[in-house]
Amino acid sequence: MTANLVLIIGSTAALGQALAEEYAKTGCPLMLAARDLAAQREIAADLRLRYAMEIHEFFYDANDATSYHALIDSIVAVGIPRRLFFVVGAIGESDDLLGSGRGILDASQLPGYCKFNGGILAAVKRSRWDSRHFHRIGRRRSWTGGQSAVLCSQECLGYICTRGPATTPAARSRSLLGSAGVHR
Amino acid sequence: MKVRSAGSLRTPVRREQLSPWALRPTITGRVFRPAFVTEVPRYLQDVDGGLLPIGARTAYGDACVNPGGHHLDTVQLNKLLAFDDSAGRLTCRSGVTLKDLLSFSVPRGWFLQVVPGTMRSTVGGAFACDIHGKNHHVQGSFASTVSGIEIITADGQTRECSRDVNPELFWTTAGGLGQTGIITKLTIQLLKIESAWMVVRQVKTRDLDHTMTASESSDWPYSVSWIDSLARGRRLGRGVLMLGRHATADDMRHMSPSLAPFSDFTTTRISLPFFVPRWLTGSLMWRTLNGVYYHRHRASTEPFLTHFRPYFFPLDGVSHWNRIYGRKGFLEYQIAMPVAAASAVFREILERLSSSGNGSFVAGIKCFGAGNPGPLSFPIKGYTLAVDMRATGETQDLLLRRLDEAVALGGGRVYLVKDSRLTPSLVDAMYPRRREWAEKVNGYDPEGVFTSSLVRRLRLRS
Repeated sequence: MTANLVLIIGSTAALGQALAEEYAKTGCPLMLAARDLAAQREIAADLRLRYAMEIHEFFYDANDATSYHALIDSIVAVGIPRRLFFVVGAIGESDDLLGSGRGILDASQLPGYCKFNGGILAAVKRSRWDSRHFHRIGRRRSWTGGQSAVLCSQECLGYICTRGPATTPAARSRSLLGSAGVHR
Repeated sequence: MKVRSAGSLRTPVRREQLSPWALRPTITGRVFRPAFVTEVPRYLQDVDGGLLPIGARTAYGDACVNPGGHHLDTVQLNKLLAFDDSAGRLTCRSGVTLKDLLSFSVPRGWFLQVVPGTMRSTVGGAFACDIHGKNHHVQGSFASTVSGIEIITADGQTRECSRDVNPELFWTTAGGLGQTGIITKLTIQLLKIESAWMVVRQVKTRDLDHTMTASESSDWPYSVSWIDSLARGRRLGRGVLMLGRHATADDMRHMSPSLAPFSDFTTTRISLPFFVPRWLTGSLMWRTLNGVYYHRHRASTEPFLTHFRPYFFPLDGVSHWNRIYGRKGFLEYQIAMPVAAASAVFREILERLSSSGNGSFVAGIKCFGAGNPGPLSFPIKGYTLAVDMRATGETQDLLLRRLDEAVALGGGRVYLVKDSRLTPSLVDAMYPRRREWAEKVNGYDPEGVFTSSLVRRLRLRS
């Protein structure tokens, strides 16, 4: 496991961007994965310029099973992340994806998974899905539904509500991430 | 309130209340905030009521609102894309604010060559309004610092343009009020600086002639005069000329050795949490405040150091300062006049405003250098005068219309970005290349996808 390495799947979602920036500020090297590579490249370029940091970019599409295996291989090649964020809302508009479990990263396939400090984190944004879907992500879960978001993990580290006064989803996520203290 | 989940669009469209910085007019419109440029072309279809690209809405007038129509807010297109540290060339998305950009560039020893009076504007907005700064007489306007842009036109095509490549689109867009398309990327040439501090000198001026002569004769790169817009008689146009230049490493060593050249400026940020009642902001209050401010300055000061933030952006230190004029908002009467007519017209304007009690603390005069090839760009060789005043209604409108006529007669023009009340009859006199601009814009957008309240009110595209 690489010290401080953070993997964010769904890095182009507002919540993913906010998480990436919060960790970038603290100097953590990042692994970003998303299906929109052009958008992800832009995010990575911005973070590299502002924080002069190491960022690895990967393709991952929950609808594409082959990308799942490629992602696992890429992650292993770079190093096992200390923390993993899965922005579930980034999966797409189909409700079935989560229900079927297709496309959900099974962290047990990552060597060294059991040594994860803090476990798997899932940041869930504005989801309408039933809480039973989160069994696959973490044994402990926290869920409020509606417009809210949850950090769900084996050891639940925090909770984010996407409702708030900030103008943009990214700003909203950022301010609330700060108060949730997830990056400390 | 969520209106619709826009089908193929990832980002929802919302119905929101919007107003420009001067708080008039307040309108309701649909707002779409794309997270990435790839989402933009899809939004160009089915925009009933027209579409207006907007940034931070720091324009004072209705140039940044489209009542009943759509707004494409670039606030999330805020990524820095590339930076050449040796040449000072920065490429970024159009929603990057000047504040964000300066926070990035100043510690690296680079500054924007042209800045307006606020850091809250976006670079895309600064280009579309072709904003000017305190150094227009030597540097020109914002477009002169931009080496190229990327724009998505009404047909959904992404086009690159610059002074050399597709210059017609470049100059039609500079000061083109968002009518040619959605600016998505800019490459900006920055200015090398040796510190984040400014060397400033202030000169007290006794009347309008003195203010204008002192402005013109200074050889400092930055120059602007605060004026007492409510002074009358022989004091008319009195003020304080504020000259500035970027402090060099030598300046820092000699003037304040203990100060780190790129130290940040921290101050307690004040916020105006409510609208100030109108009875409190009458001309008596402004006259008193102006008098106190004028008299606390000595005739001339020795150069001193101040951070770039309070020098360039003093009003940014007070959040929501626009609330000081009350709920009905305010207007800024900003005009540019050629040298020959400037003194007489300024005198007439200041006399009429002062005698009618229209004025406030925020007023200034500065020199303009030559204009640029942008047909709708505001600056012309001469002077500019700007006076803020609370909006009071019909009598004020009539007064300003008379002043508009004097301005047009003298070969001057009203700044469209600050305007919310000009009538179409004077536009062609003030902007003689308006028709040429309209023809070009209509060529890029034949179906009239892009529009705004200002464009419709002044029939700019007809």
